[in-house]
Amino acid sequence: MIAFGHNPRVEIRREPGLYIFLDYAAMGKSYLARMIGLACEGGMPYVPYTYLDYVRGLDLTSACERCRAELVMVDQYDLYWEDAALRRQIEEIAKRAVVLVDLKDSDVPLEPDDYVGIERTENLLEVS
Amino acid sequence: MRCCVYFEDPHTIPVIQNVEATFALNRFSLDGTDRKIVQTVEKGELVDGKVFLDRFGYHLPLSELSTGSKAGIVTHHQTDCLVDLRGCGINAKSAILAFCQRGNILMKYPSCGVIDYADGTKIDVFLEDRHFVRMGDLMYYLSDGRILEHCH
Repeated sequence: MIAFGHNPRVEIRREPGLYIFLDYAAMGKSYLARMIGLACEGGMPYVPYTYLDYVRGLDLTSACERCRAELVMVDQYDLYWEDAALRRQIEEIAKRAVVLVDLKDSDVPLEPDDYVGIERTENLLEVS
Repeated sequence: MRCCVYFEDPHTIPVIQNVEATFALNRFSLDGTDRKIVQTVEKGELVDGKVFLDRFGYHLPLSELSTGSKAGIVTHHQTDCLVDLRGCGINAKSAILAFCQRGNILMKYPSCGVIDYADGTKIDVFLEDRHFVRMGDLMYYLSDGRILEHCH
């Protein structure tokens, strides 16, 4: 399990692998991505990856290697899933880190280890 | 005015692919439709044109709305564009179908169906040369009706 933050505390109750969020808006995915980004800025081995990062050409593998990422969140993947090279990177990174992917289109050729949801209370954001 | 639904880009009007960017770059005059979208998708409330109340009672800037709510608001106001709902969950798509009575949306055929948020109120959806005013009719068409028609 990966846990960080206080109020809300974030708990990712998964082992390394590839996980896709269930198809539902307003779960708190983008909020989680921002929390992961803040933790990353604070020196934690976490990498948030957004559509903006993709447009800017940020190399996901390099970003993960730089901090030996334990947790990666790929946000709004529906907008750039067609990039086969990036897809291979995500699958490779998922062998050693928890990779959470925001993907709504079930026809995209990305095989998850499991699907996950977010449970939110006032003080806790739990991915399980 | 009606909400026109496309399963493929008709290439007749500009497409908004990133609703986050469009939402951030525009200030919309929010109304009752936007309020219903936010109530349904966020389980929250619009406070004014800058702030909303989330499901936990926190006042947050509109930039913190989910992508799905932003897509609904953009659809309702950018009626000269086609809004690509690729990044939206099924609840957001369903809310847009239930409440947006104008605008244009591009979405994949929802093979798992949609959720009925209309609660008996009239919808105004135009899809594949058909005009739907009842959510039940649209849901039937999206599940069995369309497939049966395409078989004949």
